Amino acid sequence: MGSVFAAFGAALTAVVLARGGGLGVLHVLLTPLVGWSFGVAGMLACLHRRWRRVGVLLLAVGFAWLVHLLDWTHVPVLVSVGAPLRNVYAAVFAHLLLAFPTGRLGSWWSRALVVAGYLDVVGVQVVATVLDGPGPATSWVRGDRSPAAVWYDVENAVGVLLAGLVMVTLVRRARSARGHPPAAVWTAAVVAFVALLANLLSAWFSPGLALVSWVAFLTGFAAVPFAFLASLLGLRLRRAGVAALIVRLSRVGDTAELRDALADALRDPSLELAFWVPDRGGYVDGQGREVTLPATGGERAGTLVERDGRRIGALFHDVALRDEPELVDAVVAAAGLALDNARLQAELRAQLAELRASRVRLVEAAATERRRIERNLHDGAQQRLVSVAFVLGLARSRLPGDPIAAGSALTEAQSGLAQALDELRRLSQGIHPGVLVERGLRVAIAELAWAAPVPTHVAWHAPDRLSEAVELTGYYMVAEALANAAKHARATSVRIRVSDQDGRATIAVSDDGVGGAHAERGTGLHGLTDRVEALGGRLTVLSPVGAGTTIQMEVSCG
Amino acid sequence: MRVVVADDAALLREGLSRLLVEAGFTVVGTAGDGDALLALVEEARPDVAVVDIRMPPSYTDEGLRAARRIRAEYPDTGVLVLSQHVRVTYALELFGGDARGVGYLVKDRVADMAELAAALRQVSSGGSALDPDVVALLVRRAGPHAGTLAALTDRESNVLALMAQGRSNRAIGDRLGIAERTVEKHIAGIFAKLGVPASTEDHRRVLAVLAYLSS
Repeated sequence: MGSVFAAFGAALTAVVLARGGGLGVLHVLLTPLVGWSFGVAGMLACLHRRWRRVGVLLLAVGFAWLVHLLDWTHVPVLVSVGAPLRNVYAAVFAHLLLAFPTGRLGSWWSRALVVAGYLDVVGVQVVATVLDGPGPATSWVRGDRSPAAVWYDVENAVGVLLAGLVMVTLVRRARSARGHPPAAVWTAAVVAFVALLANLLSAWFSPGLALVSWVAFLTGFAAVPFAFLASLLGLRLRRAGVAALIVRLSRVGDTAELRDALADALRDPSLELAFWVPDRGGYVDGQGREVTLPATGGERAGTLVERDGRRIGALFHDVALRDEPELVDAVVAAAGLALDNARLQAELRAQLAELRASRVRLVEAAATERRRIERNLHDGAQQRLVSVAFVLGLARSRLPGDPIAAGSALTEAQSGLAQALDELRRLSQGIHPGVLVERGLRVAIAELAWAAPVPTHVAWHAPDRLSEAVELTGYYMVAEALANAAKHARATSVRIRVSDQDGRATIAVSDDGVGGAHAERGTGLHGLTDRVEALGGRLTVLSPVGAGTTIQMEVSCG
Repeated sequence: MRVVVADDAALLREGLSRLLVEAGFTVVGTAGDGDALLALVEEARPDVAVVDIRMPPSYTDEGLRAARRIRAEYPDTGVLVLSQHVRVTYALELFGGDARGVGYLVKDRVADMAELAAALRQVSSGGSALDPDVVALLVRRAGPHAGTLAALTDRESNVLALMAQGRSNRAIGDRLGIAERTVEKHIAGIFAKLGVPASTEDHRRVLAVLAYLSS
């Protein structure tokens, strides 16, 4: 591709220099220079694999520019071919600015702008040229009332508008975290744009200045491609920053400083660190709080960080860093150990937070339980005892005159007392089951099985007695599971299995009900989870819909 | 009939004694724990000992163990064990291999003097007494035998339950309002349906039914 350009460029330049073109010497010398400048920069960029796209765009700008020269050859065929393509270079330049440094147009907005630009310079020019016939490029000088003049004005106006929009887009990108595109490019673009504007305006209002501003524009424009090359090289130099990073990492104190060091090395102030917690199957930030991943396709992207095949976490950064994978890899490798440590800290903080929350829940549960007991006593047993007192009073008053009525009142009192006793019994079971103290978990579970509303089978493969804490928690778990099986699961049979292996006790309650239970829903099971975890054990709930529920508790005994 | 009462709560010892006296029994002594009870039985040789399960020093099942010892060492003394809660396991343990002269009742049932008297008579005459609530649980949880039990008629089910409670044929007849003869016929039919060998002695019947229901 480069050789095609070289041949074309050489031929055109030769012709132009020979003919002179009827314009000033400076003009004649500088104009091809711009084209060559872009072309050479493009060829250099193409040498490097990753900068190839940018290189092609640079070459394209050079080509489009040299098409200008066709006008000066004064060869009618060439002139008419080149006429509609006169201002294409502007559209290609805009394309280059928006696509730098990746060479690709990221958003639909930039694509729309570029397409509009091409349509403007080519489409409108074609229309105007057809109307006008081949002529000098300065047909927009005032006073020329050719029918195509209006179209040229339209083209220029639209062109200025689009140029303005491109500048606005670049400004917004510069404001976004990464300060992209790089400063050198920025300056060059501004200079070119300002000069072009000045040129257009002075041509309209003061033709004398037109040439001066045009020369200024040419000079500025010729420097632009080298600004682009310089910034591409600058990207390369950034990798040297990795060595500085390694030194800095040895002084890093906490996760925030680590993030700063990495952000500086990657030149991305918006860098965020996220750490992988395998237990949770999710990411947390440096403080142990849960983190959501950024949406794909936006301005931010993520890179996984792994070490020895383990996933440690992820970096969230500007999407432009995607084009510098070697830089990112180098930084991640240098910071590997520090990141792993930070991950452990984050995991620890997450666990601490969970622990604190669990303790709060336990305390609250105890308080709630006491309130419940007080309420039960008040609304249940106490009320009944009071009503029994009433009935006894009644019996007493009936006694002398109507012993039969007194007798029936006494029977009523006895029944009321029986109910009160029943409630108190149930309440005291809830506070601390007597049979557990008397005989241990095995007998206690046997009793629960006898009293359960659903036929329950018990398989016991463990020592007769376990530690007190395990027995108590196990009892409540089984009681809760049986209650759920009867109330919610609509089960027809339940199996309880207690086993003991390698110092770990497992208590499992399975029913054949409708399933769909969840450990988080329903405070009963949630409270159980807290109690089991307080013992250093684990509570799991397996409840596929329609396939029964199994609640299992595993704890190390002894 | 001469009885002794053992319960760690003075209030309950008092109350039970008063009920027993009212029902026509003679209370010859009370005890507050297992050792005192055994000493009392040794000295007074009562017809029945009414014993609370939960007593010092461990407040677990002293009563059960005392009951076993009394049955072993004083065969002429029956034991009626009282419990605050319905404990199927304890009842089954108590009846073990020999249900003769042994009873298990839930404490508030004895507030009904007729029930108390009936249980004491059953136990002192070498039979058994089992709380209806325990029987109800056993019948409900019959599991593998559910089919056979469902094949019994309503009347037969009632007779089975009363029989498991240790009542005599006459008592069953009184309760259901049928003749003793009819009761005997029902019982024969029940045992035939359950496939359990029939027995004339009340306590053996209880044992047979318990064994059947708890298997």
